[in-house]
Amino acid sequence: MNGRKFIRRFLIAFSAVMIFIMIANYIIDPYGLHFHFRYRGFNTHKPTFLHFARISKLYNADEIEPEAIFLGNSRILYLVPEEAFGLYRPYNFYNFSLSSGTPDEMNDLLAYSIRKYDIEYACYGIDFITMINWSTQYASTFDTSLVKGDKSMFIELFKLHASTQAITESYNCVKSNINDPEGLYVRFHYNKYGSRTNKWREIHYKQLGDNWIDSEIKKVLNTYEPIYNNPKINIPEYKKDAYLSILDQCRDHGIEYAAFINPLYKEQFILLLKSPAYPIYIEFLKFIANNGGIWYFGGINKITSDKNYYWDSQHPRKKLSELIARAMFSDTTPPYVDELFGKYYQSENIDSLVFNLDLLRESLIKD
Amino acid sequence: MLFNSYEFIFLFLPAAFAGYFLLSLIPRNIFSKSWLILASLFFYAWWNPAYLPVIIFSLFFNYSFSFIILGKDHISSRGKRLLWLITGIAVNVLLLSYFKYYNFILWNLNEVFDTSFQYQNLALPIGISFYTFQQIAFLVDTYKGKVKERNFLNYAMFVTFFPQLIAGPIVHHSEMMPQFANRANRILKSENISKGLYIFFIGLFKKVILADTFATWASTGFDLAESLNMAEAWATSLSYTFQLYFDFSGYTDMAIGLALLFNIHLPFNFNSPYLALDIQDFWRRWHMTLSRFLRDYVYIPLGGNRGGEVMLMRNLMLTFLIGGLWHGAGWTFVFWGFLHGSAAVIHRLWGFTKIRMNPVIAWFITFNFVNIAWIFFRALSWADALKVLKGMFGLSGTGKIIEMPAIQGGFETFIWIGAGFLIIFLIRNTNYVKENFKPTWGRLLLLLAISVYAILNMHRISEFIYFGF
Repeated sequence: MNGRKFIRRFLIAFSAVMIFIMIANYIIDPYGLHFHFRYRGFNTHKPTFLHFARISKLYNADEIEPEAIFLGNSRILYLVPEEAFGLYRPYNFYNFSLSSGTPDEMNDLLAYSIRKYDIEYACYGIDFITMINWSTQYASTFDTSLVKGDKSMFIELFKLHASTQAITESYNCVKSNINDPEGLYVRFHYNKYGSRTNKWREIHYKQLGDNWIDSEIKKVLNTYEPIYNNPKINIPEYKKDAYLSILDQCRDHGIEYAAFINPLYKEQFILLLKSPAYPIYIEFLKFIANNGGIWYFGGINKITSDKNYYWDSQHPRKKLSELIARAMFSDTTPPYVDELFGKYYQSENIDSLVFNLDLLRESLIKD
Repeated sequence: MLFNSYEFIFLFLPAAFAGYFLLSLIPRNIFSKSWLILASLFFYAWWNPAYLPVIIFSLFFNYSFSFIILGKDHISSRGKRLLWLITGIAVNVLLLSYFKYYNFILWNLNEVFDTSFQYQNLALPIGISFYTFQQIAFLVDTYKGKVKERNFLNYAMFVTFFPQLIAGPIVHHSEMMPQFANRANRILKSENISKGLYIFFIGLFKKVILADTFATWASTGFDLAESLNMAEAWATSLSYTFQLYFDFSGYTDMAIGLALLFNIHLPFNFNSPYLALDIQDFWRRWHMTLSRFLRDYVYIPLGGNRGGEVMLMRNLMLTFLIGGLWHGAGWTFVFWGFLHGSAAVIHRLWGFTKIRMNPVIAWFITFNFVNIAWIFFRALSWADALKVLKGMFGLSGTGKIIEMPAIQGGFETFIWIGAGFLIIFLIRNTNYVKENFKPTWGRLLLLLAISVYAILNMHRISEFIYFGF
């Protein structure tokens, strides 16, 4: 074979394989971009179990045709706030939150929703950890980049492969969580050998023993401590721009918008306050408060100290969503919370929150 | 634009390639060359258009300055030309220092003198270390009267040619500009294209499949884990050792392959470095174009091996310290350079003993030294480096290779590291492939398999390590 034939044969074979993948993608439609082929037993099973994964979001949203959406990260995913918020805003809610979901991803999903549905209300449960430059290389922005703009050839071409793993992961994730909002089963990120795996372990919550949540909290804190201590932490401009774009989109389309900061379990809250990342946290709070306002849920009180409200130090359970909704819509908070929990801040009063946090930080450091 | 991105492979590259060879049909080569220069600048500006003026300034400054160094009618006095050369080098070094070392210098001043100079939010213009070095070499050789080819378009192509613009290989004007000037290289050559495609996809596979897989464990171990047991620490350091090699050599392969599409031969940059039997051997095999630059433009001007053994060892150490600092503005990089400088000095002293070491032992020592030294190269802080080192020497407890929770790894990590060793021991390197490539059915099937597999795995977000240098 000479060089000319080699090139010609390679280009023909390569193109044939890619075209095959493209057609297969179009028919299987793993991301739910077309909905042209929906046959029972072939690809309509996806909406039923691909509830938590990025690729499933569009299928699920299409089933619901939402009028209101949640944006956020896994904390909002685990919070399951649809029911509680529905008491005050009677819309069809859809939770677009994603594990490690970042503002740029949320911005894309909001744009997609606006294009496709009549959205009346959007609520962003925003977190410090998704606004900073942490582990961006691991965030799977690929999947949600699919909904950005129009469908390009390349997106059509490559999404099937990305979906294979995601389907398995989401299946395991949902299997262990969706039918059990209070967590009868716990999913593990790693197997008994400590490896990340698609075959996640499932253990009945009751079998884990009382110390389980303590060990989970410790594990999460060990993960976050080096992040908060990392001097290179900052809030990238592109994430700020994405957040501002979310506000612009809502304003331009007459969508009621609200943002809240998820209540961290007290140990993680203390860790954050005492850490070198504190000034960046304050920068984050001021940015959000100055741009659209923010409902703040923090502090060290009966709720944030109660493990029954949490899966671990960062993921709240569904029952906490009732308190959040109550504070946001009826402006009432339980008597046993402190002044940092359930207050609304804008540019006019954000300094008072910062003042209170500064005091708390000082006292924590002294202790 | 990353080589491992869809927009590069499916849009930019075909457009640049087709445009260049279509315009080459026009007898005057100004059109095809201008096209390639503009395409390269577009490629560069894709990251951040704000830094386009930096490279354009650097390009015009050095080209113009070379004429000043050359002197009017080549009759300026040697002293005067030397002064211009020093000025030219100083401007280059200042430009590089401003973007790369400004905050580092302030940090040191603040630490030592307890001052509070404000840091600037400076993003390093990508590739600045590479194109600055290349142009310093051009100025030095202009001064020495070694520059033969002075056509501006060829010079602009030498600096901006996109396959080597961002992370090398660090090319020399004498090997590049004659190639750009050669009319025979403006014709499509199927032999080069088939070879170029093959090498490009080998590089893509190395990067996307091998390097990015090792990156997961290396990054978790270095950046996130609070402490590492022995198994985790070794897995972390070895993962980084393989990540760095597959990442950088993968990039170089892609660069060599891409250049071949345009009938340009870039110099080899790696020659199975992890098979080195001593540290000198290692630096003859690792980042060979940097070693060549440091030898010709730092080590020899410092005096090289002239002036006795002590001076030689001093020069070796200084060269490695500068090499360390070139890689990054941080004391960990300087320390990494110091470690390699020390190893080179020890190797020199060992030579006097006339004892010939068993090759297996020599390889074992060299590989482990390189592996340990990479820890300082990779760690973001001294604490991170010590964390990994402590773990490697069992000071943070031992662990099983099938249980590595701190790096989110396990038996799979061990398998990949084993595969990494097998690849470096058993598979012929790209240099061999380039020299001995023959278009066969076997190679065609392999190319198809690795290209499809790599492209379908390109959705992971990553950058090449050497982009940061």
